[in-house]
Amino acid sequence: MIDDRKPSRRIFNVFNFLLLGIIMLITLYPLYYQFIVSISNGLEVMKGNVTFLPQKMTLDTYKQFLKGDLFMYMKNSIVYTVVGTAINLFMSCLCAYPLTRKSFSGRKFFTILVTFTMFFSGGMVPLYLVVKELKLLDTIWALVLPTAISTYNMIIIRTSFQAIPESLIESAQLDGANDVIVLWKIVLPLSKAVLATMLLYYAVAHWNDYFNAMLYINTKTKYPLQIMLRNMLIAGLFSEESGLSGSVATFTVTDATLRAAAIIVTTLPILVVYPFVQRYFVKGVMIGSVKG
Amino acid sequence: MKKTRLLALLTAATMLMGTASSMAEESSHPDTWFSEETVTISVMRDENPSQTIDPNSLKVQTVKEILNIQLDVQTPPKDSYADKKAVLIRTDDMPDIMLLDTSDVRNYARDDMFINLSDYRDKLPHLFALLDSNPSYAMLTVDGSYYSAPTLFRASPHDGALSGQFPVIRMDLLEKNNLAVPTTFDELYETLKALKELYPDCIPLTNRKGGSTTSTRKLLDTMAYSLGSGSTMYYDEDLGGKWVYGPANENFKAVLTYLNKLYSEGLLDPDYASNTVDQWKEKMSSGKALMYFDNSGFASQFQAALNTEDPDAKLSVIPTLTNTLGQTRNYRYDLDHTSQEWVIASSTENLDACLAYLDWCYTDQGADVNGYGKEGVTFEYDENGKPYIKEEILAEIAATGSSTAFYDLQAKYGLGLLDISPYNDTGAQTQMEMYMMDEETRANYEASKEMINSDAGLRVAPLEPSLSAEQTERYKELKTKVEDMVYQEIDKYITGEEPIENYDKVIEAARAAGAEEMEQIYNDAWNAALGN
Repeated sequence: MIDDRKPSRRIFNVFNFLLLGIIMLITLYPLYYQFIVSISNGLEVMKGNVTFLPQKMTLDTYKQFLKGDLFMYMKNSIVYTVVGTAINLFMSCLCAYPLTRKSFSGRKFFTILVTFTMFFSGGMVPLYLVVKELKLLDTIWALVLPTAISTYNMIIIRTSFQAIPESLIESAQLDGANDVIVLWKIVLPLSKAVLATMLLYYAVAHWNDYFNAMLYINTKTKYPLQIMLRNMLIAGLFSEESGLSGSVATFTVTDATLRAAAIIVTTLPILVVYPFVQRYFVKGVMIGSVKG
Repeated sequence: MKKTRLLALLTAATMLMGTASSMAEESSHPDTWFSEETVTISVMRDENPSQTIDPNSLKVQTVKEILNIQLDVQTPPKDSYADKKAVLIRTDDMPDIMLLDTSDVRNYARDDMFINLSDYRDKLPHLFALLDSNPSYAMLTVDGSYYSAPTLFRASPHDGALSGQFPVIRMDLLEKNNLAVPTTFDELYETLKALKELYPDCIPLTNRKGGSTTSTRKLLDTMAYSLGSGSTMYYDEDLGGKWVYGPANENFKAVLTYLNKLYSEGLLDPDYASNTVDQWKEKMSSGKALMYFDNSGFASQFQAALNTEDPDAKLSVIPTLTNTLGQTRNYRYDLDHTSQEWVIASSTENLDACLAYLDWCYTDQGADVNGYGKEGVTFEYDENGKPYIKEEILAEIAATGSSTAFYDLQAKYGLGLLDISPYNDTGAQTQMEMYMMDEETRANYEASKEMINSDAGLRVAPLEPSLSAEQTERYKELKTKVEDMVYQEIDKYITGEEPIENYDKVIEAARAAGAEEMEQIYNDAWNAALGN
């Protein structure tokens, strides 16, 4: 039992809070900074007047932002993320379960086969050709099928399945349960924590994915949000000739504020979802790391 | 016998009917149509975040009305276009027409990925009329043939001020303190010195980081040519017209000497080697820095920022300065964007349609549509037959109060350089900008346009010669080596850590390391392309 009243303990706590507080500030400030930039007047940002508080608050940046097809891209992103994550979890579990069953004769061979893909891949061009020949180009399937299983995540799931006592499964089998029932009724309910973690891993990966979409999607109306935002961020950042023309008296919206708004809009959904999954998260990751 | 006659009669009748019906159809559509049946060709270019591309814009519709060719427009975002085009080309999955840059064309043309346009001269009369009109376009050929159609601009009566990386200074402070506008770099030094005395907290001259280069490199990219040399390989008319690797030549010492003089007296930003774009913008728009030598287009943005606190603040371009070697020269931006090149994929199934469309783009009608939109809807012709955007269209965009009005205009109708426009002019852009200006600004703008457009010191950098595959390889290798070596040293001479006399050793080492051979490669290729 730790006694918080002990002086040494107190001093430790003070420093602990201070240190963690500073780390928290350092972590939060960039996000906070982007937020205040996004609601500040572009000119004030350009002059370097925005550091701790927003200056000449305005929502024009967000208005300009919403003028585009933001909602269409957001809808696409949500569809890709939901469908993709569902496929990911389903396929990963189906792959992980047999690899934990001792009665599965080719277990070792398949485990090695699966692990092999973590170190070697065909590369971008062959992958593109496969997707093209399967006629998946320019469809949602090009985004969710080739990435159906992330080997790394699958292995975490496998490890967690392995932690379930063999005797439990044997007794179910004695009662006449086949593998499907064992997986569905026993293994999965006991692995909620790891599944929640994987849900988050997969969902974040889909949400942040722009590369596959850039590669496989040609129709603009099918682009996910990330493509548009990334274009705005990266291309906008390095544009050599973005000198604006004319003589417009008010530059309330500038590259910098648009960029900041883009960052806020992209990270917001993940920030909103994270707290709800967070309690599973720590537990889930631990399971993957401790061999049962 | 009878049967045959009947057959003949029938055939004749069908033929007649055929002609009749085709005549009827012909009269119902313009004879500019490529074919009876609508042909769809896919066209791809990158989308710049400044201007969105609508795949079904008024422009695309107009092209269909005129040519009966439907453009299937695909626009991957600019930042990932390099990956996208590499994959499409390598997997032989290219769209029919595609926008590439010069290095792509040179890399892949020899692998027969693109149609050799020179083989279809007769089907591309308008394109080749333009290409033949300027001998320097020969630099765009690969092994003597054109595999691509460059993005070209024609002159327009609405054309605005030329732009480029010009000296831009706080004119209001010069006027206020009765300082003359400098005409030489030596006078500029005196001016900056005077400004430093008057405003000791200010940085007289600042700079920024380049997109993919260091701030030092950017400073030299913008100033070295005007100061009498070049930051990398460049064509020097004043040395008798040859390609020269700037930092490995005697004249470069004049550049370093001048920059060192500014630096040692605090006239050049002490942070010149580490300035970022954001710091540069902050310094210029807060009035902390008084001059930059870079893209003149930024001046209006900075001035607007300055004007919020000081309505008199004014940033103006000054005429090209005479350098310490007695030369008066600076680059301006080429109106043509020849590094943006349109290719037709060898794998296309609609070669004739692609050729017809591409050639039409280089007609005056094509330029009108790509630059101004649809006649009667977005533009009209004046009495001289020159297109101009209708006032109500300008007013509609201006009413939104957008700070990027001309991008908005062009995005709305699918116009201009950032859309699918191999050939057009900047008329719409200037009209939109002028429309947004108030009386005073417009007067200022006109005056500065007058000054810049008549500046005899402004030149366009010539196109770089096209190298063979082996030359490209060798040149790249040498360039990396020499550039790494030289740019390690340059800061020492600007800051004065090394005396300028020692730079001779750098020149010697750079020439030995390959600068000599690089110049040789460029000059040989240049002369070969010009047929000298």
